[in-house]
Amino acid sequence: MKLALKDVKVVEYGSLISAPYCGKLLADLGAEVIKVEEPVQGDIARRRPPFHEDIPGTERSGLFLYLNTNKLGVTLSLEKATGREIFQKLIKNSDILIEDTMPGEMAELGLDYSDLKSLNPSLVMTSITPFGQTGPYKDYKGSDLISWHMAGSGYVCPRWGGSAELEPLNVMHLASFLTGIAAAIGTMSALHVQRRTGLGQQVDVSQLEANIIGAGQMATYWPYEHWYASRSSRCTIAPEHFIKCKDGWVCVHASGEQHWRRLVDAMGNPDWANEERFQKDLGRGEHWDSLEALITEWAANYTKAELFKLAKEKRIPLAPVNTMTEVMESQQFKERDFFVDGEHPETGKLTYPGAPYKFSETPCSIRKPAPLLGQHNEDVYCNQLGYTKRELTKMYGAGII
Amino acid sequence: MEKAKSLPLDGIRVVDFTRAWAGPMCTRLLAEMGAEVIKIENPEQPDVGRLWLPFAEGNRNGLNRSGMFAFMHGGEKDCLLNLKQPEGLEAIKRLIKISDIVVENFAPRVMDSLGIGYSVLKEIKPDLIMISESGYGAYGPLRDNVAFQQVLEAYSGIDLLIGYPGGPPMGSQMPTSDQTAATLAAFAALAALHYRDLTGEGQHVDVSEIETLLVCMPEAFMEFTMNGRVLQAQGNRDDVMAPHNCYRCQGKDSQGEGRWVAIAVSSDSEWKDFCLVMGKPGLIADERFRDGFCRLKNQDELDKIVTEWTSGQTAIDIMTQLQKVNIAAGPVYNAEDVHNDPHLRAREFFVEIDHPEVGKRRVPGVLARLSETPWVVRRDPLFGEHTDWVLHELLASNESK
Repeated sequence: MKLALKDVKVVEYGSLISAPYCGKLLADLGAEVIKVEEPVQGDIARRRPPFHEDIPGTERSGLFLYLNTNKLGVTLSLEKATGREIFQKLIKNSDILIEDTMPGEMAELGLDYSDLKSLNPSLVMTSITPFGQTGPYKDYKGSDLISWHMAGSGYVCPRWGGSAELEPLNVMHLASFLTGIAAAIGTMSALHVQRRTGLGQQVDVSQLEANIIGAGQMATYWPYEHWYASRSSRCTIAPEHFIKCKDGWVCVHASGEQHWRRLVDAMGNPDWANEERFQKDLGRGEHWDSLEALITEWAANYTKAELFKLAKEKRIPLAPVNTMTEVMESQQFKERDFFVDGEHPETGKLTYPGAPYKFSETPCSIRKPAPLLGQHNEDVYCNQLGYTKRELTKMYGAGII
Repeated sequence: MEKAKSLPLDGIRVVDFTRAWAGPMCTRLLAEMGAEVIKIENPEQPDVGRLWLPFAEGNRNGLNRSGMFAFMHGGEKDCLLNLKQPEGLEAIKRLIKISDIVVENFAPRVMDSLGIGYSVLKEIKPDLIMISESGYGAYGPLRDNVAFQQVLEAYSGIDLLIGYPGGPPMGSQMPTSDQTAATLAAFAALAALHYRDLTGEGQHVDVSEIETLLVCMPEAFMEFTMNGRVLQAQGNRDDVMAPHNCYRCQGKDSQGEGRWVAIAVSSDSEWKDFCLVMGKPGLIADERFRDGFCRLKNQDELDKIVTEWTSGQTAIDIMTQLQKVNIAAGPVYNAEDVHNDPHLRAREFFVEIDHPEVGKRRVPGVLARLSETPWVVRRDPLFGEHTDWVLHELLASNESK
């Protein structure tokens, strides 16, 4: 099997979403990722729902199982001297370390970038923290809720029906995923330098900063126009809205002239569409309340699927507001084999979201499921580092692995 | 070893056919890493991103005043070519022959119909990496559907997970799938580059924008595939933590909207500290909130109590008090606040660019900070600024070698 990152060795020392997702992106493309977890407890994502068949357990969290495919899993306590020694051996053998401890924590263990660099000068050490390695908030505690809202993303959410009276909204764990992807890009750019020149370096990823960039052009409104959008500002052009139909909602994004005309055509060219007030995108925005009622009256005769079919024929940017069931049943994702099955020793066969891209030469696949806690201790410690099985037993007893 | 402070992608050339959002943001990242990104624009049909808000001083005269465009095209070169004319096509093939990566986000059939699909380009440049971003992906029954970010968000199922409990779908107002597509496409380009450097093989990568969003919402899919349950919108709430919300604070921002603070309490010991900071030690023993399970169950009452405490104070004061005892909290910022935050200022996150038409502006900085070969933020190119340079200097000098 051809794998894009087959020659890349990674140690991942992180939990929950950002660091593990960074590791997953590399592992799914073929890197050997050794995930280092605390003995007994492991990654705290193991304790987060959903759990397979609603039976909680450290090997049954869907979030954990998804985020850790294609990795090897070992347990190791960095609080023990022998644990730190083993960690150093792992680092000597690796190209990349991904970690998410708070600034200063690795230094207390004698494992910060300058320590590890002396063991492995070409190491790429990617450090993911809520606020970055420097600055007055560097020791502040974060979470995806905090960085999402501090980045200005929540201030403009929701898009429709928002109000200054209602609280700003978070969007799932998107803030953590955007951070994990940022870390993966930073890591790959540093790996490129390492392979070309032998130079190692530290990559400082701040969850807050990744999310300000994730909010797109939002942060440029202030320096350019001295103004900013909020969740209570109304959409000035239309239609870029949800429309209620027979069995749910559709989203239509037809404010542009060409798309608007196609929509009018699809609605059978009603007389009201010729009214002066609906002739320009801004006019349609200004009179949205009346326009919404008219479009809804038409849409009420159709199901989401019928409207989607019509949109495809007439080339209108419109799609159903899908439920999970509908997404899973979508022929689009079936034909692209987007959802993939993987066997797991504890849960059996599960269906996961797959890779978001198709590489023509080096396709992604689930080659192995997420590791059980400490599943690869023997593989890694005995076969790669040369410890004996007897030594592992003793280390287990001493709480090191 | 090369001298430090070179850029990670020095010597890599990218031909950029992208427009709008998800494509340009991908190539902007490569440009920040030091790749020579040559953006191809149609002289009669400029990138629509040049016409998008915000504009310097709100003045939309001309093609070089958009802050959105500045953010999406920092450090790129801009070359005007009409690909529908033989001379344009000829020039583009000569350019691709001396380049490493092509990135495009046309509708899936366009590159082929222009006569520059992957199979043609591969003949010209056998180890070429070509990244194609499209709404639904390069194949599948929805391949040709007209796709905008909001429409893709609807089809992904995420819209039913954004909103207030029991309310209608509301959408995000964030460039959600645009940002996930841009960043994952950049990651894919770097992975393909790694593989090319290792093996000499190029490849084509088909990036589906909607799938890049699906991979960032696994809890919803895993809940569905493991337990057949459809998740519902739950505002800012979390499955494990409580309090976990935005709470009203004192004061208004410069546009007159209220202030809010985001707080996430992740353990019983944090809850105890939280009660002490609130000056309500009696709550520690309160049966309604004595452990995480109780706090989740009684969140409505809990949120009322927290709001009573926050509403008389500023968001910054709340953050400072809570962070002092290591509890995650931060103000809900707008797009002005992020420019004034002392932490982001100390880290010099926003970078000043000097643009020939609009002068000095602060734009967001980089996603990841590399210690030895940092990425660099530069200004965006004027419309057609580098056409002569590309056609008469770059092509001529490379072809005479």
